[in-house]
Amino acid sequence: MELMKRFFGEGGHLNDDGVALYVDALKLNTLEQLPPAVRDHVADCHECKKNVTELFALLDDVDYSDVRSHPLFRLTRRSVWRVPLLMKIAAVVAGVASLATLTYYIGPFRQVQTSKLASQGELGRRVDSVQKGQDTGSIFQMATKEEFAANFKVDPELENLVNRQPRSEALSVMSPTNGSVLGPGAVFSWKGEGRRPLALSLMNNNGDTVLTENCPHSQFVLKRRLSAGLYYWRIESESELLYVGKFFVK
Amino acid sequence: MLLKPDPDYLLLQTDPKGLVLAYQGMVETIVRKYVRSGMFSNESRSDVVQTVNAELLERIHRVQVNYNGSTLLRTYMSAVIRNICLKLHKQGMYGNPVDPPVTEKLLVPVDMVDRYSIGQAKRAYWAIMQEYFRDLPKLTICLKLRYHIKIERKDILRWYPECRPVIVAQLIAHFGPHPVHLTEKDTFAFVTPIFNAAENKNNSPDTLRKWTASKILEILNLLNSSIPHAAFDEESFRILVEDYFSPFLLKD
Repeated sequence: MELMKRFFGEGGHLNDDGVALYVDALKLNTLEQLPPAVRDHVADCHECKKNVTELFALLDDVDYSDVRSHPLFRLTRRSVWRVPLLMKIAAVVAGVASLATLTYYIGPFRQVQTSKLASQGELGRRVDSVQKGQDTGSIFQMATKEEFAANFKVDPELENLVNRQPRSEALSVMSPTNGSVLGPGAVFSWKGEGRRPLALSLMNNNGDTVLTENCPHSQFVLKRRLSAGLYYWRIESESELLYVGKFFVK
Repeated sequence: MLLKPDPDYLLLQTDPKGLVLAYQGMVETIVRKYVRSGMFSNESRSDVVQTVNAELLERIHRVQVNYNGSTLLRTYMSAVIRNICLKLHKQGMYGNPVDPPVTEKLLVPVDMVDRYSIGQAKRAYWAIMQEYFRDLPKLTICLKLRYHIKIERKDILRWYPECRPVIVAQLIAHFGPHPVHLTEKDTFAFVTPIFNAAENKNNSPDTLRKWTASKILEILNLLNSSIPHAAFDEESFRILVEDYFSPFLLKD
């Protein structure tokens, strides 16, 4: 039902979000990652095909090669970031620490109800297998051990930023401590001087942005339930990255 | 490499009017395309841009609420701009006059003629074919059969993964690099039993032929609505499909 509200409008056709999502998939070559309900509807609906095709044609000469992340689609990295030696060592150390955490969290097969995964980027964690014959309106997905473990894999680039000092000495993070296990109700707080508007973003370990909030009061309370995994969070002004932290969700 | 949130999204939340300003290029591109398509008159182009901007500013708070962050904002905003243009067109605003007196002002400048490129048409064709999704392998084969374009092994196996090697060989022998020349009727008579085995059905050759014809009409409609001045008919569509599968015949 969540999916229907998100991408479908009146008459059961794609709404603007649904049409835009399909065009994103065409531009980014990620059709296989479209929600099956969206894909199957367009396959059978001439009107929606028309809307998708016309929007795609309007954007024919708009370049999407600069897109590095998408709220729903997992994009392959187009360029390889060459990691300097020191950072490689830091990444190995971080990897060992994460492996220890990983062994704690790996468990038997479990079901993840994606209708609860309402935030940006969460569907990027979804696995390909969908239990056949169980389309009850919310999609239940079986996570394999490997795919579950992947949710805790360290992102070397972000991990290196976690270890960095804040750009601005005027920003001091009060909570949470890096590596904490958090859940709904967790408080992110910091002290900062200056009156620049600051924004907080949460990202999963694929670098997909899960949510972004403006935080005029130097505090953010996590209200929604996130799926299990490793997350990074950052504070940014309009022009610079001020802090990167990380936490886990059990 | 620093990962930053989509700056457009931050702008939407913090400075929506600034976002509309930032999307001026997109507004003008889309309006220009609709002027070229004939939806709006050439001399009303700047008026259309102004009206679209005014409408966007009115709608931007709705965008703030409705945009759920599941898509790229640039694509979502393009859909919103498109909707505004279609609404203006539906209201009969800024269109070309019907049966106008002949004056120079009504002649579209040469640089405004929508000379669509072959590349644009092929990309539109590719997008349309993808939209058929589960019918794509079957449609590909049927179009190739209809237009006498050589079938490849991968075409057969994408459509019918369990196809027996002897059948694959037969199909390649008849419709591959060295095709046997059959009429369209005989072609579909030959392949229909194989299609029936693949789909577990009992259709006649005529059914398959008509299905193919109906899909071609659908595709033509979709192509012509997205590239209006192209005015594809079946003959020009055949050339497009031939070129799509044999890219050395026509240059962009």
